[in-house]
Amino acid sequence: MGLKKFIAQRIIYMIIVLWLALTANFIIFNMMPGSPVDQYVQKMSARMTQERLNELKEHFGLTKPLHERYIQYIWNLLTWNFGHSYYSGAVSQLMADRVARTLELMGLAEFITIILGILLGTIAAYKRGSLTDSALVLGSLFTYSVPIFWLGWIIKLVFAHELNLFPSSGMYPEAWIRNWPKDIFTYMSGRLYHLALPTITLVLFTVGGWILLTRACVLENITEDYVITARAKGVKERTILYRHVMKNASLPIITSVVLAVAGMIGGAIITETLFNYQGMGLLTWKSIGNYDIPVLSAIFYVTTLLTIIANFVADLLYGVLDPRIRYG
Amino acid sequence: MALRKEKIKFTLKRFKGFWTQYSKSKQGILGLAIVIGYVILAVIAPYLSPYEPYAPKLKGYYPAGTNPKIATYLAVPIWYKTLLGMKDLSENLFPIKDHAMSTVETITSQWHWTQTKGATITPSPNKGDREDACIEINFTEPTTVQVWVTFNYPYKNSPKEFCIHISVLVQDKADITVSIAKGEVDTYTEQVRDISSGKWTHRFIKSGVASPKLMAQTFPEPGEYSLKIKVTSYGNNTVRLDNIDLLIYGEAFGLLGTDGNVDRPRDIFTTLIYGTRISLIVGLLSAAISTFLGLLIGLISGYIGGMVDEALMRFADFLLVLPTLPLLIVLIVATSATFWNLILIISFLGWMVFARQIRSMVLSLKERTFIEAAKVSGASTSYIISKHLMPNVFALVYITLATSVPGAIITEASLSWLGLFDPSIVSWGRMLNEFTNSQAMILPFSQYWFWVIPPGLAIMTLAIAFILIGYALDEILNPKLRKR
Repeated sequence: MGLKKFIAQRIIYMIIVLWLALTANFIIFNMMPGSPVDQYVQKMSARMTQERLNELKEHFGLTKPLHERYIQYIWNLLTWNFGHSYYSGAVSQLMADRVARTLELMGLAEFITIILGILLGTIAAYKRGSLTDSALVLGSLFTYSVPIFWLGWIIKLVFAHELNLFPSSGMYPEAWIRNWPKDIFTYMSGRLYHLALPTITLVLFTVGGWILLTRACVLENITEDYVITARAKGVKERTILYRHVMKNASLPIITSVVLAVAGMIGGAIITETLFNYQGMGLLTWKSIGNYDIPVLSAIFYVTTLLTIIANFVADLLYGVLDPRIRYG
Repeated sequence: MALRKEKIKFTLKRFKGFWTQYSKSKQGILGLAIVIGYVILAVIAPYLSPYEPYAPKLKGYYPAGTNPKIATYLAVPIWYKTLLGMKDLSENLFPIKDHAMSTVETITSQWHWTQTKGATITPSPNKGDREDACIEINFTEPTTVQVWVTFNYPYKNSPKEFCIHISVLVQDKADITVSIAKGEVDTYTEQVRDISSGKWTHRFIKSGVASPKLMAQTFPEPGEYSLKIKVTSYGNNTVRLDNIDLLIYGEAFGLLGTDGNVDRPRDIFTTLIYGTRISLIVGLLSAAISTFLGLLIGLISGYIGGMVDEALMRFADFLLVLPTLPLLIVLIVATSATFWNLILIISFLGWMVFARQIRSMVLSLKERTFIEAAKVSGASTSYIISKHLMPNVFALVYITLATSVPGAIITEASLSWLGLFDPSIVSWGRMLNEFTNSQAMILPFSQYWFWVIPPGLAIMTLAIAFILIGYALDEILNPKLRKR
């Protein structure tokens, strides 16, 4: 089977999975207690007249029968027409702001995590069996067991409340609300100052996984025969590690990086809630609390779509990077 | 029969062999010890603590309303007094014995009165509100009488709050005042209000929670105090007093203090050990269900193949591409957050990766000759799956069981922290949720640490224990890592 056929088949799979995911979302959102209509009416009825309420229902398309709404829902998502939030304007506008902020936070955190994780993982594998190795492995296992909200809270307590080094929540200095900084340097420093604690929390929480993954991948290769051959030929250890082992070990790591990058857009619900960071995670959490179905549909659609595409890209990359792999 | 015996012997021998290997792993033993410790705590929780974990109340008869709380909110741990040398801290003091006045003896042994002209005070054996004993005062002319009980308040610091309970029955109009006195001087006085004539009136008199000034005034220093009930009648009258109790809530309480629920503080130690049950059940059950699902789906999908495989794997893919935490939250909100829903939803979203693993193992096992042989000799699909494939993948089942417990525990804690907890259960995550939603954060850390640090540490150690067990099992059972 050639590459073209593989791609065609995968695209069909992707469409099926996407359709399944969208349908499931539609079912779940309509299953939420009392259905979105009732929830919405309940929240709003105290504040408005019946006519206005019907008008609004019409506006959000809540008066149509279920199957029509389903078709409408799929069509809207596919055409990137996300409609209006029940509470705060156009979903696309709402999301655009949050996506930018979340990408700042997640991008910074993922960047540090991946670099740090790969570096430490390689060191651990290279010095396998040593004290450094056990310390790194145990440390990584440790990060798996700490609840992130608690870890984040302790970081917040120590660095924000006790030492007063960083702000405990928010996204930029309050003074900026009236006087948005014009030069890029002030902006960057102000943002970084507010990003520091959530970033540290996220890095601590996720770095363990990267260390273990890298370590396992490198270990798998470092014991291979070709390494012994290279050593026997007198190739420098450094060259063996970076030229030979890392090249082979990098495949699963690259897959994970692609998936992680795609996953960034979803934000981090718990960290963002903890530090009151107005990103996608907090938006998701608040929308669930408000039964804001249009927003939730859009968030689920975008994150799902990106994950599906990332999986596809990762599979393709595998073949590009490793000529041994044949599709089919 | 003989065959069965042999079989058991073989299993035992295999287990022994496994155990010798396992016991060599220090991490594995540590993990197992921690888990066993937690299991014991979870089982004997009711014997370790007399309090209820959810909404603890004092036991006894308090007809004025729900039974009073067990301690004041955010009381510090009792060992502050010995270990930190803070000897001055006040403790709970409930000076009155048998406040329900069930017998005349308990009345005469602690209550005092002086007989005044125009009034006779007698302990009555059967005129109480429950036909038990009570103090009866018969007035023949207008006068004021006093009954009191003395007690020693031994602590240098004032208490945090106190609460007085009293039941009275007056035939005609009478004024009743309750007071606390140091020596002859009343340090606190309060009238029993709205007494209806001819029937029992039950009242709580509470000092209020945040009144250090009042406390310092009422209990300024250690010494002999008395609780006095003053009854003033304006003529011929009968007054009965029953169920008089004084509850003094101190600053220190319990092994880990109390939490910040002002109305009904919980004993943190109790909540913590009962929380062990929840985390263990959620963790183990979710891990078991998801591992079982993964095993089943992986076996079926791998062995049967074709459309079944295609359908099951696309279903797994679809669950994997949806954002996990948002999906969990949405599902729980959609189905309401009950304990069992949490377990089922966590397991429903946790089987996919394991199913894929099993499937790929089965795919390679399927091609081996022993399966061919079984097929040729006419073994059914279910027989091959259960007798030939299952034993070959079972090592992975144990490992996955152990390693998916911590994930489930942390997920439950995170969901509870977000507020998605079963309202009838206090889990570790919920303790932290209640902390986050309280105003305690503005206090200095020393005043609330015992509310936040223990549940977090508990979650962490339990999760770590299972990770260590999984790690040890992985080293023994995983054929890839097995040392040759």
